[in-house]
Amino acid sequence: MKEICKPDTALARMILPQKVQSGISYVPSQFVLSFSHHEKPFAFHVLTRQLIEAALPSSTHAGEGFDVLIEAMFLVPEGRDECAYYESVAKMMRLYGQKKGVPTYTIMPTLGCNACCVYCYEEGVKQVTMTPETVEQTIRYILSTRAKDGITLSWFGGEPLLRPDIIDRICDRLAEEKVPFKSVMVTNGSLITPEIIERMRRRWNLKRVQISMDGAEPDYLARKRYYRDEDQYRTVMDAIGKLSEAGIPVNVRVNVDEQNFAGIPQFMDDMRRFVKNKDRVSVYFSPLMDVRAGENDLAMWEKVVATRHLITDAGCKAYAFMEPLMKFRANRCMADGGSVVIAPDGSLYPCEHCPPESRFGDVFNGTTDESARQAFTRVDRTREMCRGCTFLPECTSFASCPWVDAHCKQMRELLTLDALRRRIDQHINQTEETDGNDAVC
Amino acid sequence: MKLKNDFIVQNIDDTQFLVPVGHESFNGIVKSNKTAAFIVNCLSEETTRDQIVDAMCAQYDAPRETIAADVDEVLGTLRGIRALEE
Repeated sequence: MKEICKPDTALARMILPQKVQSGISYVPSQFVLSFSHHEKPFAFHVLTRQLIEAALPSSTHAGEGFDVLIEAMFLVPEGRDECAYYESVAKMMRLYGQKKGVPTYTIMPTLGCNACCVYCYEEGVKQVTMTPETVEQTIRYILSTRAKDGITLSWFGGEPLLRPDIIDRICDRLAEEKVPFKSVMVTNGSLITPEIIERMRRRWNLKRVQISMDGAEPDYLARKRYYRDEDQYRTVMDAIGKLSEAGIPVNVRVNVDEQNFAGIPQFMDDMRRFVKNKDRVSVYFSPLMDVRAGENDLAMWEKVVATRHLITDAGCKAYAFMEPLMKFRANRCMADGGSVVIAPDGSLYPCEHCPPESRFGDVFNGTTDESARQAFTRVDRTREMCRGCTFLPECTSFASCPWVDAHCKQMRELLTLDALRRRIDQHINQTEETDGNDAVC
Repeated sequence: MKLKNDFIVQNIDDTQFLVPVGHESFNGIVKSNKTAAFIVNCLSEETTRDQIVDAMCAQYDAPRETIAADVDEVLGTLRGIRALEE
């Protein structure tokens, strides 16, 4: 067995090696993705994140030459309930990762927006903005519930930059109280000015911005539908470069579907020409929710994989969304990671989509319905259809998640295999550069 | 004595783990051997060192002094990570 990537360090310390027992029939784990590359066999363990060059037998016993693969859990006892095993491991890792206090607050200063994106899931929702009383109570709520060793404020909306004064007020008060905090933000980028960038750096301690784009300029204009009928395409591209120049990493999320994908080469060419500084600019193509839930989702994902090179060709980085991480993650999103979403009216939710049934309190009264949050984020509800899935360990592990992928397994297989093959090529190149000494990621 | 509430016992296959939840002075995970797992199980309810030794003597065929030494060692480890309420 030749190791390309080591298993996740924390998992390796706890659950490996698996005992090799005689008299038991071992078969490949459900969490193993076997594939070939350059006519060689490889296997990736989706739970432990170990990548090896090896062919797995369909069945074996102790002492038949595969004990190392048994210890590494590529082979497991036949009939083992691997879903239950994964759930135990994930539960332990979640418990271990739990902190006293809230680590992340997603704050919506307003649901108002200067754009009216055709695909916005908030369409039809009343455009509430935080009142001064709600802002002050939000500050008090954060001070009384926060994790001690530092918090993240995730500014979301609506368009959060419509109300920078609210962001100022909350950040300034937390700084006065000597609360260690950093910020991240999701914005359409149209309101970013040099003055705002200064506030981002100095007052908001902004460490990352996600800017949503919609492909080439005609598609962007047709989809963003700015209220003043402005063309913000070049303004946003300019802002992306200025943020990068100011040392703030930018993730450009390009929402795609069948109608705008043809414009992606033009869009990336515009990124190449108009974004002056790309040092900290990452890009990813994200199929819209409707596309992901629809029958043609795989065709779209295939296009996403096939055009990935346009990102690097334009001088940007491909964002991690398009790469499987080589570390095990116990929490998949804000909802099951203990984060709190604060809506403009002060309501508390576990998820930025704010499903009404998951509302568990407000900043004035604190948590009033813990059961609503627990019901939404409960981790022991692996969907029946997911129990036997190879990719269960890297999937949302609670049943209430609003995201739906019609062909999630095939989609993950497509993205994972693409990334693993690139990883292997990278490994081969590194090995050649180090005169044949194995380089392990 | 008793195991503190902020230490959760989690079993994976036949191995017992002791996981601190939001604990301020210990951020590791304790992987218990069979003896430690037995003692940790005893500590899920209020008990004493001697009651644990008695329970182990009833379960395992070993000299009492050997068992007592094992119990003291495990209790010492648990005290060291402030997992016990005494």
